[in-house]
Amino acid sequence: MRKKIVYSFVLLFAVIAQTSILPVFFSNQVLGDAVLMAVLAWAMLDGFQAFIGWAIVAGIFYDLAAYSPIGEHVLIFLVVVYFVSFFSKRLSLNFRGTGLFLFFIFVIAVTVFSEIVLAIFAVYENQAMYEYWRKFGGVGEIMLKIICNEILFFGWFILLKKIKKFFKLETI
Amino acid sequence: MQKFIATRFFKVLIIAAIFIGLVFLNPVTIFNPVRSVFVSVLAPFQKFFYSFSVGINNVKEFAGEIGQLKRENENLRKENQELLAASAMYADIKKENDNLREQISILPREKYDLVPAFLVSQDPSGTENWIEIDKGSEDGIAPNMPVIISRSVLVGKIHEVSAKTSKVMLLTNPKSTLNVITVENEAKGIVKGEYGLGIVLDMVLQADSINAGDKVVTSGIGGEIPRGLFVGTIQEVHPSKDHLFQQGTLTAPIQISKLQMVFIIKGSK
Repeated sequence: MRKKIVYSFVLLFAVIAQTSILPVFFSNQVLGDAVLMAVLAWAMLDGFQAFIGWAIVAGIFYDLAAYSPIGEHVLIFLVVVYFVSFFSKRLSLNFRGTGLFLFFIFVIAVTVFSEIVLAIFAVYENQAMYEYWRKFGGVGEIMLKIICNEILFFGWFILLKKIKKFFKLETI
Repeated sequence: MQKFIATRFFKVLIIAAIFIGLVFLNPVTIFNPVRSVFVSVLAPFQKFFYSFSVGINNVKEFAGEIGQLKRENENLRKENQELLAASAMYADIKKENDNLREQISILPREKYDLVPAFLVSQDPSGTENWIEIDKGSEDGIAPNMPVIISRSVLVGKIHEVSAKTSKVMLLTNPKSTLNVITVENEAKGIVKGEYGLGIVLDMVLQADSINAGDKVVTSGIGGEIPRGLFVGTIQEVHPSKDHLFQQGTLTAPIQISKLQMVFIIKGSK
């Protein structure tokens, strides 16, 4: 029960951070993806089985708050969790050496994947192919987004570890 | 086959297929009530964090601008003296303007029935496509109502309404179009949003005269948005790609990140 309450609050805070905090500081600029990075960090800490349900909940929360069609972010988070579990079984993920390098690669891959999926949905929503590149943005924007996401990811990773320790929630 | 069905990959595939279906079908009649409840619950927390962030952002900007403020203060004092002289002249023009507005049945700006609202969230993509406010259908808010600040500066219009919150489509939204005229020459045109590029004035006839620095206001055509709401100032003018019309980029008078409060025009008094 305690786990459910803590996880729900943290997820809601991530959604609030994405919709009400980050846009104020980075208005009309490239924004990091706080919810996506929280999901990525969480999936690494909890693993597929323990977090897949929460990833779906996070996606639904985010879609509801961001006024986007329900399922857009669920789909992204679902793939992210699967992707993390697929590689974490085969590779050693820790905060040292190649593990740290893999974290960087994961964030890049997840950011680009998320942008591709969101751009495809934008094309469908607006029924116009040019929306793809408009939504996807230029190389500079993607690079900036990746940098923002790297910062957010490491922030979330450390924060979530501390939260789990503080509330004595089981860790892998 | 049974082995494949039992795999993690298959489970993910099934769930993904369900949610892809939901995205493309987008059954808003089912999800809108759920969204309405969710955003109503979340709105007070979003409002708190939004105001808190704006406060911190303002302090941060203030700290960085202290040196500049001294110089600006000096300039403002001089400007104030000039404005005092000008205001005496405009008092007379205002009287004339009021008479003219009455004659062509434009509502005086003070006579709007305004509902104040606080911002609770913004477009998380960072492209300033929409904002969310803490007033909804329970406060009499309905789609297409204009949203303004400072009495007559247009921010956008109501797009979606839930019980306690509403989504405002900003002028910078690519889906936003608006009939406008220039104050100086009454040149008619359409203002459209551009992804992250601000606002564009389009469809101005070649015969009409528009220049950089001209002020653009709503034309009132269509009836949804009253005439005379300030939209922006023309920054530069260029011909359209097919050379049939003139286009202009507009400088918006508002910075969304600094907004905390807006007003919705419910109607006229």
